[in-house]
Amino acid sequence: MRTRRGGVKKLAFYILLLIFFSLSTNPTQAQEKFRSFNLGVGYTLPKFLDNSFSALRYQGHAGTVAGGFHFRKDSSTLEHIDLRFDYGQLSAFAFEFADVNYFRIEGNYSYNKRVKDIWQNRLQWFIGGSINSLYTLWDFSGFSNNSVNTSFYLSLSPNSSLVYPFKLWNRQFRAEYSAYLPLLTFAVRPSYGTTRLSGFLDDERDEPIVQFFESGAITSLNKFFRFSNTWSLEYFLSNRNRLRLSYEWNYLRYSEPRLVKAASHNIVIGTMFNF
Amino acid sequence: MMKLVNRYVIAIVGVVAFVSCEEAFIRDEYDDNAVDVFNSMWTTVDENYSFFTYKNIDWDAVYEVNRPRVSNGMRRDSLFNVLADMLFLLRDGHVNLQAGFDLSRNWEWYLGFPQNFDYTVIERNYLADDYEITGPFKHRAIDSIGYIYYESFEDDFSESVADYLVSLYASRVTGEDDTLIFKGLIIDVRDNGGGSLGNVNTLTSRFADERRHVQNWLYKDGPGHDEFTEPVKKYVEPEGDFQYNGPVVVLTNRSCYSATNFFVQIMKNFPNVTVIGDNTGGGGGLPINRELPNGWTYRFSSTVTTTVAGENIEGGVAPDRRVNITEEDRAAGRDTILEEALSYINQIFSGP
Repeated sequence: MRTRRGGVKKLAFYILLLIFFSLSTNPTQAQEKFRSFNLGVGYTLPKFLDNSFSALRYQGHAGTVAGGFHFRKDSSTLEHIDLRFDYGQLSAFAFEFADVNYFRIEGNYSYNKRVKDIWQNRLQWFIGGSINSLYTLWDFSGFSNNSVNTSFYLSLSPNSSLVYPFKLWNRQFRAEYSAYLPLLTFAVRPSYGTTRLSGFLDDERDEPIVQFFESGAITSLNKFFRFSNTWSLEYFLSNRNRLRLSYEWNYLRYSEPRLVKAASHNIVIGTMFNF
Repeated sequence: MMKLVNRYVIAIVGVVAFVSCEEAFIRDEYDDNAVDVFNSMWTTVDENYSFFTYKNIDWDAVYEVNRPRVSNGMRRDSLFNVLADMLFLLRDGHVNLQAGFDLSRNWEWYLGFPQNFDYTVIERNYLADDYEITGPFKHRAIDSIGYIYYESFEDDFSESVADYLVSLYASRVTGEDDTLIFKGLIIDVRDNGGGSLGNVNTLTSRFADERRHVQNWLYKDGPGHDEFTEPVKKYVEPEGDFQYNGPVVVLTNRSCYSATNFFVQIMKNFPNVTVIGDNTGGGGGLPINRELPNGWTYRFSSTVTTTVAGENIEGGVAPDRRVNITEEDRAAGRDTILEEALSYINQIFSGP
């Protein structure tokens, strides 16, 4: 039943996509240059399963604040700096009660070069790289000594974007799809038992930065897999500032020291101010 | 051209199809039926409990005995009893299974021994009506010796309360005329079942003459029963306005557990401290909590604490002077252990 409903949803989505491309017209080919400051708020549906804590899957709701800078110095480059903060509450028994406080901070820098125009030059294809950092803190409020579960990941990733500027009903829009897949990651996860309050730091030692790096490991796809993709739609206002609606799906799997899997759906609406 | 378009459309469709398929990747490993609940608990304890080797427990044999007792569709209370029986074998006061209708436990660490404490005797015959209540502490001077009763390390107190207590009963506190006021201090933690290690640190830091290595903690570091981190050294440093360096006696019984067990063991590191009474009950591992697929929660020890010399304190801390309350004293309303402590401090004060 679930599969069938999912199939109908996807079919509807493809039909809408087809209608959208049919209705939209070729944009003016004047290539934009911009520097914009972004600020938005949104909603996240997070899920995770962490064998360090439980064999159960947790999921819940979170609020999001997102911001950053997007640069396009000329028609051939895209440069993004994005920050996002989520806070919410999760439960192993979906939505019945909240027993995990959920914090997530993500920061990404990406630089992309335009490599090709496709689809009758309407779709601009960019390829580049990105640095992705992610910090998560799951606080199991009802637990005593193992309440805090914290992780940090710093990744180098190939990055790709598709940009589709278009006009619809005489209004200018820009759709963008971007994705990254970390190939090399510095990952810090708590010890197996995770009774240390800060996850990995020994409070008897004075050098937290040294300990931080001692606790981490450089890893790659065999142990750490993360995939993020973001769809966004920008609507140009008369002053060239934009309204932006974005959706991101993010999945993470790390097998050390015990398997953790996490995913989130995130939708953000915000404004992009040129400066 | 159509081929190219098709290729990219397929690529986009592929990406979209990838979205929201985490349902396939992130699934509960166990269902909420009785067999899965049993397996979930057995496996989690197997991989995370810290005293299998120390207590010589054959957890595989526990599985073999108890697994046949579980079947899907069995009554909830029956399942609870099977799980409780299994956890009982860990002989650990830090192990509990909590369902809405019951809490499993093993409290043999004190039930099988003399209580060696009667608060009514302390209240009526020693504290009487002339004592102070400062935060969670009840205290007074008995024969020029400070006596402090601390019922539970669950009860928080401030740094200033700790400073006040130790300076009040300082054995060499002097007034303007340099008059000696108190001979020593007795800290009674009998029947104190534990609580916060933060309170332990605050209190012990008032007796630390210098930064001292007092314990080692080992964290579970893998699924094997003996997979632990290297010992992490724990220290106590002098804190607060005043460090008490006069004679100190800590009174113990078998109901001293968990944080109180830690407190007694740490205090034994200081040269001016003597422990009098019975063994503490134990509790040397920090308990962690887990949830079962059916919503019940449970906890169990996941670390090991040792003395500086490497002795495991899960089984309790032995006193320097073992004293039990005698039947005669009990009948007479006297506390043998407290009397021994008063006598001991008076003896130190009088000199050899």
